[in-house]
Amino acid sequence: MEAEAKKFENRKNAPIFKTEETVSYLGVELPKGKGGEFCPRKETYERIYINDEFSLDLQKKIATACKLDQPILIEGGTSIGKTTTVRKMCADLGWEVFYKNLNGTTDVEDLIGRYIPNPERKTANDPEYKWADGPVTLGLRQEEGKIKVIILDEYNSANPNIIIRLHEVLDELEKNGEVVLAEDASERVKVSKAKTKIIALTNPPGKGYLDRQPLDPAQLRRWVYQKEVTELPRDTFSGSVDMMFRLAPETKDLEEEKYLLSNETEIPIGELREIPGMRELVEKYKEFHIAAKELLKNRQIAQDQPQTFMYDDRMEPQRVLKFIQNFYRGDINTVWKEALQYFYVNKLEDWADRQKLSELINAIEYVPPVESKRKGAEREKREFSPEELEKQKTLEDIERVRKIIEESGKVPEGFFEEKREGLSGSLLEQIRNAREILGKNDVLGVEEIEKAFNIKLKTEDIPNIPFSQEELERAKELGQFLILRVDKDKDGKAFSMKRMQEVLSGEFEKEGEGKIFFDTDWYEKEGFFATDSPRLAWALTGKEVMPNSTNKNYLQQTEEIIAYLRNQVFKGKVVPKEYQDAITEFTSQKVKIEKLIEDDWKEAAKILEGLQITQLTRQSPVEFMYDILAYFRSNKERLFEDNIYAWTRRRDSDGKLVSVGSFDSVGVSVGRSTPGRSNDDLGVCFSRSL
Amino acid sequence: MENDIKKFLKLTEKSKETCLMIAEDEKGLADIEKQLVASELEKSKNIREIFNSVRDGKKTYFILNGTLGNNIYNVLVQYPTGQINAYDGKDNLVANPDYQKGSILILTTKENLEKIEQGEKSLLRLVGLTWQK
Repeated sequence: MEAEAKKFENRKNAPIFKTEETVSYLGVELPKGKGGEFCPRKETYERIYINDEFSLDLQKKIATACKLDQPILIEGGTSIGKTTTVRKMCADLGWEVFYKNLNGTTDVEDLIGRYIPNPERKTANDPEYKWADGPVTLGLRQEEGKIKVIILDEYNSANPNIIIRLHEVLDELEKNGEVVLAEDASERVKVSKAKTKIIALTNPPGKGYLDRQPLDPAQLRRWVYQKEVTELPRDTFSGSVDMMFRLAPETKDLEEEKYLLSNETEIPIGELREIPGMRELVEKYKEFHIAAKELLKNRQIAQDQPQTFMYDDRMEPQRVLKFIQNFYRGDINTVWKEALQYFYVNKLEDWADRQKLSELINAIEYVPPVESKRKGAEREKREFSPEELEKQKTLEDIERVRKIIEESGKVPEGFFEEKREGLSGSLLEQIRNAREILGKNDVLGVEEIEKAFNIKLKTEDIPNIPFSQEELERAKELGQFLILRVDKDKDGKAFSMKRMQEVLSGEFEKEGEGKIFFDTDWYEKEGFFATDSPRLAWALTGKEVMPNSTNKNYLQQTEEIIAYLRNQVFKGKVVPKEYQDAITEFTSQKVKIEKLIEDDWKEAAKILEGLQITQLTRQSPVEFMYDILAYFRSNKERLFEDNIYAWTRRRDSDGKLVSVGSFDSVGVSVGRSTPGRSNDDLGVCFSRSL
Repeated sequence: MENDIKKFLKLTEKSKETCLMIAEDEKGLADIEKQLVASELEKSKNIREIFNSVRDGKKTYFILNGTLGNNIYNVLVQYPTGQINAYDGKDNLVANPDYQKGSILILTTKENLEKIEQGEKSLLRLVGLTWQK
């Protein structure tokens, strides 16, 4: 166990780590072969090969495909050293190489082999002809202790008859079957994907390679397609030259994230299935796959890539599964992200496209239930006491039973969802506790609301405070206040902005506080003013705009809200499911919204308004008014007094998003903007209610 | 010209790529060839001979006519990658260049080079150091 741990540690510390039996490329471990006539020489590469960051990453990608026994097709410019890299790795590993350049190859025989006049024929009894293996057949034949690589160079220059024959080979290899040599009296060659690796290389079609035609996307599905750059990135070029001139050490120290540590053995599917979160992540993966396909179909990604491709419904999930079986080492979220990066993002060339897809991938995350003591089939073992084991087993049994009941459909949806724990005691005790945490001024409970709006509340109609002590303590740190929002006024009418004006204008005037609204001309008939009322609930609300939320359009503000939730509100905690789901929804729609902001702002605003993240974290105009009026009436302090506005979650009748702010004595101003607008006085007032 | 060629041959030593010499015409080609032989370069008449020379770490030259055939194209593409590998219809040939000792030089005329460049594959894209008078 100790030796294994040390081995892993070593693999993490050296970009290329060699033992007697294996070589690891940024953590991806491959077995050595016994060499042979077709094995390149190690010394050659000690002189000519530079292990810069780009080359190491390329080696990792190739090693990953080899580890997973998957054929890989790498597209990239000639100067990036694809063939040299494969050969250098084979030299490290003692693997044999069989190379075939498909440019100009017209006969299948040039790959598979042919009958030739028998040079050993001495008598009439000797056969006149003998069979000579071509490079592909030689690469497929299994020999004790040998591992072979078939390089198919300039793959996109191949004739259709060659491609068809190669597909037959790939299909047989995938199932460890037999390749029938129709050319040699139907000899059957037993093949093994563990023993033969196929690597196809292509130059990008177009882009200076005028004789290269794009491949039919359907032809690519058999391959793990990896898009590399056409030319070396500038910093890679510069670093590589420095290394050549010995101005920099040959192998750079790389961050831990660059490594991908493989397992010694593949995890059985049965064991994988039991890992907590696997089911949830599979569901999220399905959504991701569909979203990625849509982006590709609508040319929202890979727009400039001449080589079109697809995300295959059958092949991609199989590959992802295999990846997880080989690379899962206790962190389920990371392994999923790495797999999707490898099979989806790496097909893209453009940085912005890669970002788009990476953002979707970031939303694929399993959040374990809070307070759950369940432990998964973690690969990294630790000693458990008998009591712990017993407890763990019981929890697992409960979980199993829960799943069976849930899947039977005999209980209502959400039946097993964890109940949120708010403050304990009666409502008045809860309010008292909240005051102890937040301070008197920052809890606007029953008493304060009754006074602020001249209403009488029935305590039995008021919900309990749903926030925990910990949440209130965090709210205090973030400068938020707790407020009880009610939906009706003293007469039982909907407590709209218009109604607030009617109820409070006289008192404002009498007390010399000025006006409530500055000028209602443009919006007095708008629904958000005339009819909307707050939802009866407790809310935690900011007293000023959220940090970093000004000078950003509505979409960018939403991203800031997400960062705020993750890094501030739930700092060091698991983000609750409702927010997590809202983040996932946003991430899946972001690219679309971004485009719509440019092309169809009304549609963009409509989608933004409907997003769960908007609904969960921004106030409606009436809630904003309610909150600042209550706070003012209670504490004689005007929030949002300076010329600053909160962009709310509500659209006006023209489809623009409404903002409210500048609560000075001449009255609150109400504005509206298209979602692409950004300004230094327009931010987000973070507010959440449950 | 003699010194000029010698100087060029000195430069091609330890080259990781194949090198090219372009002669004015057939006569110029013959003159260059004499210089190469005098400098102890061995002529390869076919692919098999190129492989033998590379395997033995020798300096060799190969005369290209107006076409860049698949086999020689294969060699030129692979030479900088540390190994060359080809199937000549009979055998799978393999050789590992020792750049410290051996080298491959391609010899052609201007006219033939033009013909090659008009074809699908470019010779100029594949070679490193190039000489022409």
